[in-house]
Amino acid sequence: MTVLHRTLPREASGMADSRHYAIETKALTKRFGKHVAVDNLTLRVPTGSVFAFLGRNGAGKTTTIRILLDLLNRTSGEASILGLDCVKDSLEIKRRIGYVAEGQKMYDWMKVDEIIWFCKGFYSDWDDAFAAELKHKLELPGSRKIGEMSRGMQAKLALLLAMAYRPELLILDEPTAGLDVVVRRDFLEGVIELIQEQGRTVFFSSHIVHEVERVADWVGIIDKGKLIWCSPMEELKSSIKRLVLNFDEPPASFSAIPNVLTVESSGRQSEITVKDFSPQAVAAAKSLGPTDIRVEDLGLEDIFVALVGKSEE
Amino acid sequence: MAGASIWKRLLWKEFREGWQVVLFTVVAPAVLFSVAGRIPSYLRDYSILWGIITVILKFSGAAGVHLMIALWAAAKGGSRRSGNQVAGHLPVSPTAEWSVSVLLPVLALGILGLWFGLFASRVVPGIYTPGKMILAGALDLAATYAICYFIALIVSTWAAVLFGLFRMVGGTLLSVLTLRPMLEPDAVRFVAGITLGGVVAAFLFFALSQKRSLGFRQGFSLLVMIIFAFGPALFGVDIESMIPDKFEYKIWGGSVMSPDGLLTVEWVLAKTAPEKVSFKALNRLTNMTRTRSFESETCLLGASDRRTVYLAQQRPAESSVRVLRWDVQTGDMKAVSVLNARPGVILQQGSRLSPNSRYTVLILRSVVGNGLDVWVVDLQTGGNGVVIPCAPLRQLRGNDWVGNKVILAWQEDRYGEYNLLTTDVVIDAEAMKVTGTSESLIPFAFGGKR
Repeated sequence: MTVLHRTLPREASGMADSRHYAIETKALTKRFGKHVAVDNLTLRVPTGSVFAFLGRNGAGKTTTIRILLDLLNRTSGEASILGLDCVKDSLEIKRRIGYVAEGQKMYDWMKVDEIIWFCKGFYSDWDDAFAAELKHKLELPGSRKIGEMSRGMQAKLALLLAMAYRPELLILDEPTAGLDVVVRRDFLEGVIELIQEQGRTVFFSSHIVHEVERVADWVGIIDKGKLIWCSPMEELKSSIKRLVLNFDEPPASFSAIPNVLTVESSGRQSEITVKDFSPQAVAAAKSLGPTDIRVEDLGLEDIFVALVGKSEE
Repeated sequence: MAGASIWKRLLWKEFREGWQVVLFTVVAPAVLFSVAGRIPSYLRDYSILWGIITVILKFSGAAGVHLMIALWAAAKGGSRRSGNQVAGHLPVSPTAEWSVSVLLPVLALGILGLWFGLFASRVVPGIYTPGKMILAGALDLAATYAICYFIALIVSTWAAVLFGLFRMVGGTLLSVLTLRPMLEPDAVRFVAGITLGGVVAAFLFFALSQKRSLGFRQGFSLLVMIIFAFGPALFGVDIESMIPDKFEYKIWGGSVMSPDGLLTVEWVLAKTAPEKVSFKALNRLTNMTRTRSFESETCLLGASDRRTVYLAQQRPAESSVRVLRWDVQTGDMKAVSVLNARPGVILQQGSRLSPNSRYTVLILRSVVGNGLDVWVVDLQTGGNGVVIPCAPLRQLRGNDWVGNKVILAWQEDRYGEYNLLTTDVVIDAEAMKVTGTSESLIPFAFGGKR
């Protein structure tokens, strides 16, 4: 499947202008022995976007993020954040970005106020008032030990620590994994609210697709280490549609319809998910002789399943 | 300013994470080794119960401290390796992180190890000058941290814990890696290598992280670690020779007191070079001390008064023995008599002055086969003579005087039997000759075969 980078601010042959892209990778590859965890990944995350990096478990999301943060070495390729090389400038990058990892471990013995004090020293842009505001907003008890807090509370604390110095880029790696539904919603709403106030770039990975739909304005989908989609959310939704066709006699094949991702037939009804939806797809569907034809918008989860399913084939 | 702020926080974190280890390292040896050291040696050696108690106390002190350090280092190295701690995401330079996480604890544990070694020396019998043992303690604790941190850093936390346990109880097969260096000063050279290797290799792992692959950093730092740890042994580089002599591990040899009780003299031997002996005289009236060291075999014969000490010395490759008078007040040393002993005999410890401090007995042992020559020396005139030539004995453990009769006790003959040997001494002051007039061997059953 061809990877699509759509509606990019500017195309360039090499690494593009850092003012436009908060994150940029070119042919990034990571191998663990024979296993290729990240395969020739070329990704651009526009500055100011809320970018959802989606993929199934083990697709390569966390590996990509860890390479970006220089927590893992790449096998080949290039990667930059805010125009800085991820390896050579990793210290400067860490000063300018916020990062919340999946199930991020913190010093269990520290109290909330202690870890806030501890982390504050590392950032010249730390905003005490903002940290206090976040603490209040996220309802974090200052005197509570981290080890005694729930995972949801710990995730919120990690978010506070990642945001209190107003980073230019916030990277969230499965930040809600392991949290219950209520806490997940709570957390994401907190993120949305803060992002809207900040107007900064957010790059977050998740495999809980339906939850990011409300938050993200850009989507990248990775599967088996390969980027299979990258575009603004609206473009993704307008590009992938479902055709619901009713037949008296279902045809033997739907190959006449271009860019078919999935076909599901039940009795006389067939549901065909197509990529790069256009009036030509409807015209092609009509040529199969359906008694009724309907075009449906898809939710992000259905789109994700269709794309990943096609990739599987 | 920002740098100071970072250092302040890193140090605060290290202290908060490690103070329990520090506290345990301060308290455990002081309590456990002191208690063990207070158990009299005769109880430790001859009572199974007290022997077990002593071993438990010693092991708890040594292994407990090492275990705490190993667990601490393994946890820290493991969390750094996974990069999953907050610290892994913080903007800290590798050098600062290494300084605080590796170098600082190694130095701190080195200092604590001096304390550890000081108390550990109290439970090892015969240690007189514990300098080298204290140094061994410092290196040993620092080595445990350095090696466990490094293994956790490049392999895993559990590998480091297992190595730490092996280092404590693994014992004898790879003694370099175990607690043995703690009790065996000769192994100091290896522990120094391990410590230095761990610190340097961890630094390389940290410093290389910006540029090289994980596999390269693991392999390269491991190679450096191995070179530091085993290189000195393989290539015969003696790190130990860099340790000043004053730290030399010495064993208390014994002490004598002058008849008036005002002067005590004690002697100590170097563990690795027993021929090197030092004598320390203390005038208990004036509290004046004087020390004299010898590079060749020298025996303390006794102190005749508050300022006079007699020594016997035999230089290497010489059969003659010189009896020396040491004036501890002035420091003068003079030969009062020279014994023209037969070739092939060596001076043996265990001589004493006569009650009037006029005479002394010297025992010279043949280096080939059995045979002891017993000499008596007139310390006033310098006259000397063999009173018992070629006694068919392997060893002789001391002598005592009753009037002019010397009782040479606890002798073991060639058949492994113990005897009391006595001789009467006749002094011919005119001819400056000393001869034995009679001798008798008295069978003695205790401790012997009969």
